[in-house]
Amino acid sequence: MLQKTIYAIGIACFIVMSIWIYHTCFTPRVKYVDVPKIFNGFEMKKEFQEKYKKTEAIRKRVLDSLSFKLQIMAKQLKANPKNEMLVSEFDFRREDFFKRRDQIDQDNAALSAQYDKQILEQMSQYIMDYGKKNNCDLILGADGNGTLMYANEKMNISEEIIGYINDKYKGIE
Amino acid sequence: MNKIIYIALGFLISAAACRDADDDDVFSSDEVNAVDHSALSNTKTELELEQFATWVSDKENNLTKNKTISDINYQLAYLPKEYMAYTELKQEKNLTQERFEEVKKNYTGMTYFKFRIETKSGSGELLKYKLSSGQQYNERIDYMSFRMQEDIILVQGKDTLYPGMYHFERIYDIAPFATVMMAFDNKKFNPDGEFTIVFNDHLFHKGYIKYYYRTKQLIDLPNISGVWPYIKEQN
Repeated sequence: MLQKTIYAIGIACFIVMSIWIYHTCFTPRVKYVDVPKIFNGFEMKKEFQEKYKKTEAIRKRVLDSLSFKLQIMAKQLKANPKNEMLVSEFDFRREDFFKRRDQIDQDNAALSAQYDKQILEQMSQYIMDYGKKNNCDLILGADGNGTLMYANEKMNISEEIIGYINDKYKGIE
Repeated sequence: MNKIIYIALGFLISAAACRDADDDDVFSSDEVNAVDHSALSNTKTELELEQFATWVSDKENNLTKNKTISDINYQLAYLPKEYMAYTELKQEKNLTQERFEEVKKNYTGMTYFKFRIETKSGSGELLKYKLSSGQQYNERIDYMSFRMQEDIILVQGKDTLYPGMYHFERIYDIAPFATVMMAFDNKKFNPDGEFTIVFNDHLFHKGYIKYYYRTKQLIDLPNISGVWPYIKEQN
């Protein structure tokens, strides 16, 4: 009876250990990150946001100054509507204002895109560094786009896939 | 039957260990280096000059800091004045302690760093990497020679400091990296305190590249026991 119990315990242990080993050895270590959360929590993003705001404010001040001058000229023009020199100067300045405003909008958009690219590049690199350091197999970005933030090189099946798709294409497979 | 169970359990345990062993392999080379290095990593260790130079260059000691951002690697190395004197004098055959101390004095008052930028692929002249035009090559040379020093600052507390000395070592396509030597005036910051060196990269546009040095990191160095191995032999 005792021997049977020992066998039963032994077999149970064997099954539990097998499941545990399967999990440990064959299940990839997959983690995920909340991309918007880490993007917003990244110090570089906060610093660049400040930097961007300063640049934007300076540019806005230039535009405000031009706009103010235009308003003064508009008032002068209202008082002297027949002053042709004033009219032509007002038209010129108004045109210049619109051009500058468009230019500043474009520059702001370009600067914002440049900063975002730099932030994402560094953030992605540091996530990859984390993956390597902590023996992760995959780090997924939980941003709804299925972004893969890091993948262990041993999980890379690109070469195998190249062979497969070429075989398929050639009609071999 | 008992034997079979024991053998099966033994097999399972050793199989379970395999994964951890694989994981350990990832860092095995680093660990080996760390172990090899442990004899030298004690800051109170006395080292001969040549060993001291090796210690300074060894990344394990964290005086040389690396940062890779996608395809570009940035490396900042702190160079103690003893190391500066060593590199200047290592070709001299009849080097004496007095001569070494005399040259070392020339390097006091400043904290020296070597900043190196290289491509991860490590081939071709760095400044020609992903060039969009010939004009851009000239702009990059101009940037590294003159304007880059305005993009490097040492930050300590609320103070910022530009390099007091800056020199771009142009090596054309001899090596796939570009090196800049720079030094900060010790009177304008506290080398014993914590500080960060920041490079605002306008060369490859990777943003701020930061290197942190902790309190007393620059003075926690091994002592130099002998200036040159053959001085001992002469003695």
